[in-house]
Amino acid sequence: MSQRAVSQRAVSECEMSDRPDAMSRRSLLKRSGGVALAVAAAQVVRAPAAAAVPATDRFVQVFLRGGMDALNAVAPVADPAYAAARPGIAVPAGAFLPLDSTFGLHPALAALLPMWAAGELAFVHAVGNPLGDRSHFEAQDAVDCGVPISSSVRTGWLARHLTARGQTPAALRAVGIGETQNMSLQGQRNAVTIRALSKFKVHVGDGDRVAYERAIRQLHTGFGHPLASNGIATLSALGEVRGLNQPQYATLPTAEYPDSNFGKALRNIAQCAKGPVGFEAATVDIGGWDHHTDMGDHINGELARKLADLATALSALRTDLGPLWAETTVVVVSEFGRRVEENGDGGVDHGNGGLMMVLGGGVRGGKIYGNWRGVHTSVLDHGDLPVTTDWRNVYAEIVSSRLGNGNNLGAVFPGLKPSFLGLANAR
Amino acid sequence: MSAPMVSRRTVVRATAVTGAAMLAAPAGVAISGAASAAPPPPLALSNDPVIHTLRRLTYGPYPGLIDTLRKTGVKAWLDAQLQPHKIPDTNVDAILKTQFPHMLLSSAQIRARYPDKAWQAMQQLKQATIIRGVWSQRHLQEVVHGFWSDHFYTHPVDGVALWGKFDEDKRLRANTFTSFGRLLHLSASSPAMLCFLNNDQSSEDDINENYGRELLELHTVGLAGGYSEADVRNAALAMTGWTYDKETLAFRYNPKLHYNGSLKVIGWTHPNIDGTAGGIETGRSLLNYLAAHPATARHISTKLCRRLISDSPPASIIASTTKVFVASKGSVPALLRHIVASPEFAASSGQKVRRPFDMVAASVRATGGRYRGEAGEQGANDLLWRMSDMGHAPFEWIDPDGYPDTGAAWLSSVGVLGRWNTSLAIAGNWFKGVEMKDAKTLAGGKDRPAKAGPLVDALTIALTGQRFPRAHRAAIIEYLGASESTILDDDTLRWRGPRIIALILASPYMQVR
Repeated sequence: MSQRAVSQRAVSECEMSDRPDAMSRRSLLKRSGGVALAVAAAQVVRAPAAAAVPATDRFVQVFLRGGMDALNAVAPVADPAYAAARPGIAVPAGAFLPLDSTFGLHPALAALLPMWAAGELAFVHAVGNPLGDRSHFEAQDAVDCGVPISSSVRTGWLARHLTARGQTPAALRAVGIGETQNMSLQGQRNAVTIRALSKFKVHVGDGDRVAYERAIRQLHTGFGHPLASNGIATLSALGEVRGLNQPQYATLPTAEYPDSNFGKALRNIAQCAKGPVGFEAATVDIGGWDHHTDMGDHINGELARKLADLATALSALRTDLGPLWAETTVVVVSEFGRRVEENGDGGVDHGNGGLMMVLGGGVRGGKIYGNWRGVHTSVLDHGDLPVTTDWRNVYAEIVSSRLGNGNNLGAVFPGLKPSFLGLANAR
Repeated sequence: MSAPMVSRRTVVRATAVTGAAMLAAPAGVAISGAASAAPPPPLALSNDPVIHTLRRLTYGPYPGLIDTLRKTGVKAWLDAQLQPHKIPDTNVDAILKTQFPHMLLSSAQIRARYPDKAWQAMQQLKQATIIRGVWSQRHLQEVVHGFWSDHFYTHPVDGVALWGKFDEDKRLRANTFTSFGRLLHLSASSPAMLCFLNNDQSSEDDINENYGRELLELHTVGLAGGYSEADVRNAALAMTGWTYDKETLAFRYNPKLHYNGSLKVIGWTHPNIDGTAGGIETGRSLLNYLAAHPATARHISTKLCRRLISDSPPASIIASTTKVFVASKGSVPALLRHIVASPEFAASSGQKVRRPFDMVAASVRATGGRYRGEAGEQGANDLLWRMSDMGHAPFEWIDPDGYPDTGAAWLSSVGVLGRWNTSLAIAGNWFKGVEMKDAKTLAGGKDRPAKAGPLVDALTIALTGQRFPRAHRAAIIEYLGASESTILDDDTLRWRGPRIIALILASPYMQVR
């Protein structure tokens, strides 16, 4: 596998409005929804949305780079073929947290159970790319680009979604946290990675900042040029982000993020969401899911640690967002699932059908979606779980039901004939 | 890409359209609006033809270079620049020889020296590219090489796409000023390209259309070329067998992979009956046809004018350049001479926004940056990191269309902020391996003006070639808490100098070209 395939490509970008004229704080507030929201000391009144820009959920994509092992995360415990295929790495039947009559949840994902019980978490199993490509690189690109074959369309599906929604006055329209550019947002302007909100500032000391930004403002005033308008817009965005970094937007004390990169990334995303501006889409990647070897046991093994990090951070995000959770949709995706049968090295090789998690206030959760055919060798596709649900249908339903863009599915997912699973309530 | 799909390139084009609209009122061109509110005036950028020429044909003017051009005149300077092999480049030669010796080797040799260290090897090529852009005396060669490098773009993902990039880059540079047809043949037989666009996997039995499609859409006739899906397929079939030797990383025609049977692409037909011996001629014939196609002439001329004149070049210059392309059989020097001598070029001062690579290089050049990589330590690494952070490091674009060449693509808030912070870093001498001149030196050394007003003038002239107009000059003086005649002593200048330089570098006078 290529160096690029294993690297996290952990990502982020921050796509900025190119409509500086529309960027006053007043107009920013207008599009955020109809709920009056008090955040600590700052009373932020969210006026009804303008008719042209329907209110939407915040969308958060979590991409598990490397190919998460769907079958140990949400396992068909009732199927004897599962344990038989994985004598060394199957989670013991008694350790699973029961989900329904067929499936059990990996014990390391226990932090997700409250959301499952509250109907805010749905799983989609045997989901993936119907044209399945077992190369990390190709498969990741396919998911990010939203097309089964990555070489034909090279814009990100999220970028197309945002573009099709048109220009909106948000200063921080899409936020990503990480090191490298997330392909799902590619094609949106000049999307440049930011590593953390705290890095979005002019590199001068606090004592010099006001004078320096004033000089910059003057240098971008008095002539007509995109540099002038975009320069002033950038100063506004800097002000907005400074607002986000104010103490009143601090993490709720009850939200306990794990001290991991993923935990920090979700904390940043929550900070953005709770600020006066909000965002439409955020992306974050977690690498390290390529468990060809030494997956380990269900308590302290490599996979168990990764799953625990994932679940506790997501749980903290829900807590931290408080009432905003009702208008947030989170999707956890990976480029593919892994082989049903374990290999000789205590791991599993690249497979096909995988798992998606959909979380949020608008999710019809507490249910495992998809067309499940079992893991008996007779139903497998070259030893892999066959894909019975096109992953784009999960996104497409969210885009339609939660993100206010059902009229543009053809542009967001070209070539897809949408078939919804019914996993999200319409807003 | 099948017709209904939205490709990244389509979006980039859409962006370009927006950019054209945004830049419809460029510096130097007054807006004639009927609206009641008077539109803001254009940026008061200097129209000095020498400085304008240097902003476009180099990675940025600096005092010594401006003096040279004033002495020789634009035409003689251009003549000299078009013969890069006759221009001594001792500084860059020495840097590369001592610090990047492996970059002078072939792809196969580099691969042998860097087993399992592909990334490290590629970082060196990126650094070498930056070093040439900043310090080479073959200014025009670097600018035009950058253009071809974007046009025939390969992303060094891994494998032969990466290892082959070293040879490909050398050949593109060596052929910068030849003809379009020659460059097209060079690209089509480049292992990096054949791997990047999967022609190495394409055969009669298992055709891969990736290269065939981009050959038409990106490299030659363009979307306006009027080709069909069948043409794409036939172009791919014509090129089957064009691959490389995995050991030597040299181009190789493999007749076993070649499709035999008559082919038609747009107006080109070929019997293509003897794949074993003459099959390679089928591909060559197609390339010759495409290189001479009128749609190719227009496509390449448009892109060159977009690079050298404006995001949305006037129809007149596209038309005249296209004629020159046809008449000269795609001669690159003829195209460059024509564009540079045109009234459209002369009237276009300030109509381009510098892309991040250009902006970093121009800033280092303007501040008199000196390369000082220490023994065993490569000095352009911080510059590379900075460009990467701004999304425009050499060879880090992932798609076959190369980096976008319109201002709108580079002016998001994050992009603009990157420019300001990069200006602070350059002015503050924060980059290891490069040393910039300080404010006192740039303003004239011990003879520098003592008063704030004249001092700011001296610095703006040194860095951008012009005095700033009143309000923008005042912005800097006020930032200093000074007035026109406040005396700034050496200690104050040492302390405040980097910030003054940073403001000038961040100003629109430095960000446009």
